[in-house]
Amino acid sequence: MRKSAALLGALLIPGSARAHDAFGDLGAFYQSLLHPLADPAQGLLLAGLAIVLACQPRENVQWAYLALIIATLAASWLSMTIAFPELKLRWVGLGVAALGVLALSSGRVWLPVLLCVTVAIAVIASFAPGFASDPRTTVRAIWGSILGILLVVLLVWGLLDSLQARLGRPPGLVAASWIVAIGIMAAALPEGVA
Amino acid sequence: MTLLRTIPFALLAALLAGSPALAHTGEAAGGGFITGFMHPILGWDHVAAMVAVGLWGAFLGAPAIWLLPVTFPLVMALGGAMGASGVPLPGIETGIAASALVIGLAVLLAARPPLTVAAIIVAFFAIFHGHAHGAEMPEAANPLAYAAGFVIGTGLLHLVGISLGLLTYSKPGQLAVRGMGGLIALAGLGFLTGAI
Repeated sequence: MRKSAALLGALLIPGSARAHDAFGDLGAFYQSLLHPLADPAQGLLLAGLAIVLACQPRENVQWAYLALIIATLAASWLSMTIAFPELKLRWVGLGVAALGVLALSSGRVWLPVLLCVTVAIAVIASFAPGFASDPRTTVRAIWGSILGILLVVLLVWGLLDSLQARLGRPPGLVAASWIVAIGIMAAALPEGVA
Repeated sequence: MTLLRTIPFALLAALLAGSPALAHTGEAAGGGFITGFMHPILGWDHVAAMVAVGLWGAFLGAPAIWLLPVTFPLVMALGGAMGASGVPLPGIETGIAASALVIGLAVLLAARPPLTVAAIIVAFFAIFHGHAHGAEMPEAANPLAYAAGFVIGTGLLHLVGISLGLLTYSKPGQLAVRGMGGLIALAGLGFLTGAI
């Protein structure tokens, strides 16, 4: 009872509210970490990859995730020296739709194909955030970006995998159909739309 | 019996006399994900039809329970693509309202057509829903986020319908689900005639 009262008192102290007064500059690390959530193109490509992986047997997913880690590390460090052209929304849409179709096509994707798809998405996603010119900030941003990419894929795959363990293939198929729908509509947008 | 015979004529008369509610102006959609997400959820015509798709899927059982919610977004995307690229589609509001009426009636009457027929019915109406969403997409601040929002919003409404539809495993639950279908059909009729 006393503990509860003390807790309530601590919560009511006005000073505690001041801890969250800044939502503006999160810093390079956190901005890159959260980039897949802020950039729908990057987020959807990663979600699409995770959905494809969720429709594959686990032994293949292990290899694909290893490929994702290596490709993300390599591409992120390369992004410091090479400028990557910004992908048009149409191409992102087609890529997302293709990932959805791959997930919908029930069956095991040949492992080399799965690895190639994983590496391609890792490269595109790693070049997505624009990094600062300051080397220290860039390094922090790159680590944030790597972690963000790996976490998004792991979380979406984990969510779908656990749902599929209980409900069978439908959750993966429904998610794949959503991704295809989003991709088709993005690809159909007229030229010049953001 | 006489009353049953007069119902179709009364329905036809109501449809011819009224005009559907025009909720979709095709004007600026505003922001991104949240705007897209709220678009199907705040439109009662969309809500009624999406919940009905879920209810019908659950009523028909496997594999319709997941096949209909998979078919709907895939075909809706084609309608959305048409809307986004400016291809006109006549009778959008009528199509959306009719979707609630027809699918609601299918649930009310416990219709069990072959799976292909059910999928074709759902797919046909999905085009109208997609077009209504897609037409507003290019005006959004972030069209990709808008598209993601409305696809997920639509999918979640299907899940609501499926969850309610799972009541069909019990006898009183079946009656409740068919009652919900009836209410949706009634709402569809209201949208169609402009009464709602």
